[in-house]
Amino acid sequence: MKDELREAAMSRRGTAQVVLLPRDPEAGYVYWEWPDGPKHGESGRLTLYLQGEAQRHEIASFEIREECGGRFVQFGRPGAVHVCELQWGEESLDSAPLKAPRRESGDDKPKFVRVELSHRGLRTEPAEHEHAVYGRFPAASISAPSSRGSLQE
Amino acid sequence: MTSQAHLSIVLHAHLPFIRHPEHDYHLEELWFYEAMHETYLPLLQVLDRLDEDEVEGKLTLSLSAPLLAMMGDYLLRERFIEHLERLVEFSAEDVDRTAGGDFEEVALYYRERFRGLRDYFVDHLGGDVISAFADHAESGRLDLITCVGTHPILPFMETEAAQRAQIRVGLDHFQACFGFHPSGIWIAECAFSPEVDRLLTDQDIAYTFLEEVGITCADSAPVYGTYGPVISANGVAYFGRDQYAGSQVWSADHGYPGDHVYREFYRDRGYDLPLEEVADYIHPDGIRHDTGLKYHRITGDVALDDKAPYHPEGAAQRAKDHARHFVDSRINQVQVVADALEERPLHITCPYDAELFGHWWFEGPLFLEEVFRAANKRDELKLSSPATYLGEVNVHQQTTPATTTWGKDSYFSVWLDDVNAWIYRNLRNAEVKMVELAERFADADDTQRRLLAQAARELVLAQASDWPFILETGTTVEYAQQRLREHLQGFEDLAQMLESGQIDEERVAELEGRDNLFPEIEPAHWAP
Repeated sequence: MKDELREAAMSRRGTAQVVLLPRDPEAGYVYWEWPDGPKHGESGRLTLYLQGEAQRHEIASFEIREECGGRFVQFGRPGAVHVCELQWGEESLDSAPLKAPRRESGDDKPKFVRVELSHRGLRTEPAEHEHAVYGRFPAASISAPSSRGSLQE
Repeated sequence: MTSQAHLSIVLHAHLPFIRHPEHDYHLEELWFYEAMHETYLPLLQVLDRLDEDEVEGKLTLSLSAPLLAMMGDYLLRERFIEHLERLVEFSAEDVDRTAGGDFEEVALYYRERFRGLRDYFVDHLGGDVISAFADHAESGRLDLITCVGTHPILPFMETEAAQRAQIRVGLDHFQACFGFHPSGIWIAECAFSPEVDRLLTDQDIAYTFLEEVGITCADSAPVYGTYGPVISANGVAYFGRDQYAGSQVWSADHGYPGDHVYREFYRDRGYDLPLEEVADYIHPDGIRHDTGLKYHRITGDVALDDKAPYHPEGAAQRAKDHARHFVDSRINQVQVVADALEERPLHITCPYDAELFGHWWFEGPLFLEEVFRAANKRDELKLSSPATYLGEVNVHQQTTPATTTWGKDSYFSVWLDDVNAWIYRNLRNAEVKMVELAERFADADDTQRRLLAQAARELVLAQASDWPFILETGTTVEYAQQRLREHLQGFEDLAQMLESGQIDEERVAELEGRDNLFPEIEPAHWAP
């Protein structure tokens, strides 16, 4: 798409916004709206953070000069929570926190439920269940997990 | 002796809403006609034959709301019949044209095929494919499930209200067509993030499907891999796509559809014949396009001009061979896995785009039919469905699946790339405006309700994942851009009318006439 078309297609909400969307475990897309836009050569700043429990760590920072724009950013770590901050003048705004997609399973221990299918969806209740071969399918232990690949492990 | 494994073939049937009453002949409308005569009618004929021969087995079919809307649309039905009539005439002319030559056999084949399809659609079905699918659901052959509304990328939407509304749009239209609440749903592009889970539970959805990554990267490592569903904390069963079975059909390198005897998709009489001979069967302005009469086989790694003539009988036999190979492969797969997981019946999930079978892979419906027939003769495997499996196997692992989509790389890269990322700002701004309007006009009078309903239609049409997909693939980019622009502009116009109280009746009627789907749409679904 030509740049002028892309610009013309950018609707404004009329309020500041910064939005972070997931693309894959390594990259996301951030777009922003800077209300009233830059004046007199002013610039704003877009900063991507890795959000820790107590503090956040800067991953990358970009100067911005457009009222509306968007760009791809590299995440700090797959599966981790990221936040993007938009700064202009004395003001700033955070995106909603986004957990980057991940490439491996979490560490939760397996648990089981008994299900019953009804016309109102599934009813579930906790169930005791022993699975004799737990670990037979080590998720994401190969770069492109697959049922066949797991069996070859 | 291992227990009988369940094999669920899941077809996802979807097209964007491509109804164009403003033109007598519209190129993109042909997508619907091609899908009808290459995929949906042949699929129904397969199901009919299986019933006649009392071949057991189930098929799961998700029908998207825009596709159902087009199947039920009177104008498109009439135009499709005209289209079939043209194909009957064209194929008959081609029999004369090819007599005694290399293409006589295939020309005769097409003439009989199109005559048969016309008779089937007009005389046997009375033009009503929705009822035909409903009949097969009633008989137990089909497990019909819905799809999320107009096929949006749910995780890219901003508000829960609008996500919920999209799900309700699909459910409401499904209910209007079939009269029951489906237990399963197809999430458009299998685009999932954990936030989606609660929305499905709220609508009494029991199961859905994910790319394998969604299962293998869940919060807890899946003890059964994708050979069984995982159940979310909110109580939705997620079935992961089997990569092995998938690649046998999908793979461009070694998938069945690439066999050299199969029909070549990219050679078509619409381009091959001199203009004067094909003029009556292409766009009235002389724009050539595919006609559906394709006379060559894939042949091999040769230029399009060097493709050899297509022999339907040989291709049909190969499709049957491939189907038996597919079934044998699943049984071998099951036997290997069952050594490790012998405690319970396994489930193999095989989801495909419905249009792969017939449209892209012409012999695909015959392949499907033979998969049923071959599996029927084997004790190790039964053609089942997720609902059947959940009814028979009751204990499953509970964990939250991971963010994923299907398609390239299993993440969002197709729908969020340099060429299409710009659309989400526009879609989300309109979405938030719709939520505001639904709240502000909660007590709307009839006129306001009419405007809100049409605004909702324009919004959901803009949100279809088809547009970013087309922008990414670079096929009909101008059309996708135009559709996005038109729907977002239509939405803006209606929002302005609502806010100003000044109604442009002509504009409203234009939008209602063009985008006439979902008469039951409920603007209150967008209220927060």
